[in-house]
Amino acid sequence: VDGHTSLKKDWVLSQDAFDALLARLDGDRERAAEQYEHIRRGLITFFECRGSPSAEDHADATINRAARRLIEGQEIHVENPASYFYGIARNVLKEWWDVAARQPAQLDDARHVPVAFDPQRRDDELRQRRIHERRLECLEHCLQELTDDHRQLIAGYYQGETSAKIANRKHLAERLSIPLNALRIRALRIRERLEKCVAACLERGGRR
Amino acid sequence: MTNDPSFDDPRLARYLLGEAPPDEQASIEQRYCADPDFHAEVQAVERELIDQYIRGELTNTAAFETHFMAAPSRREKVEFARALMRTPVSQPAASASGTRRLWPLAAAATLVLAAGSAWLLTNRPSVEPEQANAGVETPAGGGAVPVKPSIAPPTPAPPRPLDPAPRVVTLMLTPTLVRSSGTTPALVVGDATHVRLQLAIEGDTYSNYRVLIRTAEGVEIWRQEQLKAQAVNGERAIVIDVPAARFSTNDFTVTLSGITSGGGVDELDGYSFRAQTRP
Repeated sequence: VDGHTSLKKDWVLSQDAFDALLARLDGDRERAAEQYEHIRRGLITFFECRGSPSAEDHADATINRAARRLIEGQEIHVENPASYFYGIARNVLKEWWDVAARQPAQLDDARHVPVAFDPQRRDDELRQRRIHERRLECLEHCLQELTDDHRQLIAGYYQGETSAKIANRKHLAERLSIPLNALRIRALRIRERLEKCVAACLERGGRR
Repeated sequence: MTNDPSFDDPRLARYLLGEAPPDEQASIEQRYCADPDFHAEVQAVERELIDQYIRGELTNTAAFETHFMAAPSRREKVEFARALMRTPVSQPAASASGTRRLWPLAAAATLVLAAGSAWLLTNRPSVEPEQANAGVETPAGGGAVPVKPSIAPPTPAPPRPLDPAPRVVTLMLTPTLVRSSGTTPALVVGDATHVRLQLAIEGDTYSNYRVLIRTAEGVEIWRQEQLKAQAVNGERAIVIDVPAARFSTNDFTVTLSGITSGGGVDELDGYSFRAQTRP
């Protein structure tokens, strides 16, 4: 374990290293790229679930570290490469915890905790409200980008509350002749696409 | 935590809320890192949790707020979900008369939000499944087509109505100590979807307030913060909307606290009432 390794991006993933990584994942480059994407998404979930303040950065740090080890001549001896990444991710997380534990708590850390209203945060609230408005606009734009059937699926899937919602989803799955679980995953994929679209739109400052 | 049967595997919700024991946690992580289908399942449960939280259906909000929301990327997902629930998904763009606002309702919603009834708006307006899909089939390879042929030119789809309208039952409460009659106010929830409590206050010296509702046994059923006083019938009051499902037939106490500019909490008034789920 290279415990001294900084979590910062002090080692850049070179093309050679990336190629070596993909080659190790699968002989077919397209399948390797798919596997890489899956591993990265899994790592992001892992870091989110473990409370990382920067899950994507930590996922990338994990991948970089794996790629660096590969290019330095280490081999992945496990049957499933995902397990190898998972092992590294646990180390990255542990290191982050160690670093975080040594640092005094920042006032900003409590920013998202719903505590007392502070008049000095009024500007921040206004800014948040503007972002919220922009998010709504972006979402409307992104919904328009969906195909009709995707838009209908997402509309049907999120209708209703509690028991009505559940009954509605069953009805929708029956109508589409797919199992409920397949419907859930299909709705998830559309939602993920919308999430990405909205994030990209917000990054552009709401410009479409 | 959650009783939603859409969570096929309750371990996933437990894991996402940070409540899984270490061995279960590691087992889930190893599995989703290796299995894309299982990872999708985890992601789907994550979105369900977010939606339930926003709708006020999640009972374990503490775990959600302290653990689940610790990651900024998740907070962004929560904000996205809020937006998704406030933006009704309408018919294709062509029917929207060129406007990006899918429903005029969205603008109205913003106004109502400003008036302080935010909770009601987080509940996605919905239509019955049959109504939503009436006359429309979705062929596998293309867009929606009318089931019955029509010679009439296509007309813009009318905005779908908000349905069913939230049924709100309102109870005005005065602080227990200043109540003159000595009787406990009673509330019949019946088929209401929400209970609106108007808590009379004397003076309005705090920039914001917090309300806690507990059962007679002391179990907290609702907490709301960053509330502002507003005028109700010429008096100052704190107004909250609580999902009716939170109430059983029981006695409830309400504690109102004022939040100082320094973040201190001053307990101000107590209120009590009796709820009956059936008349």
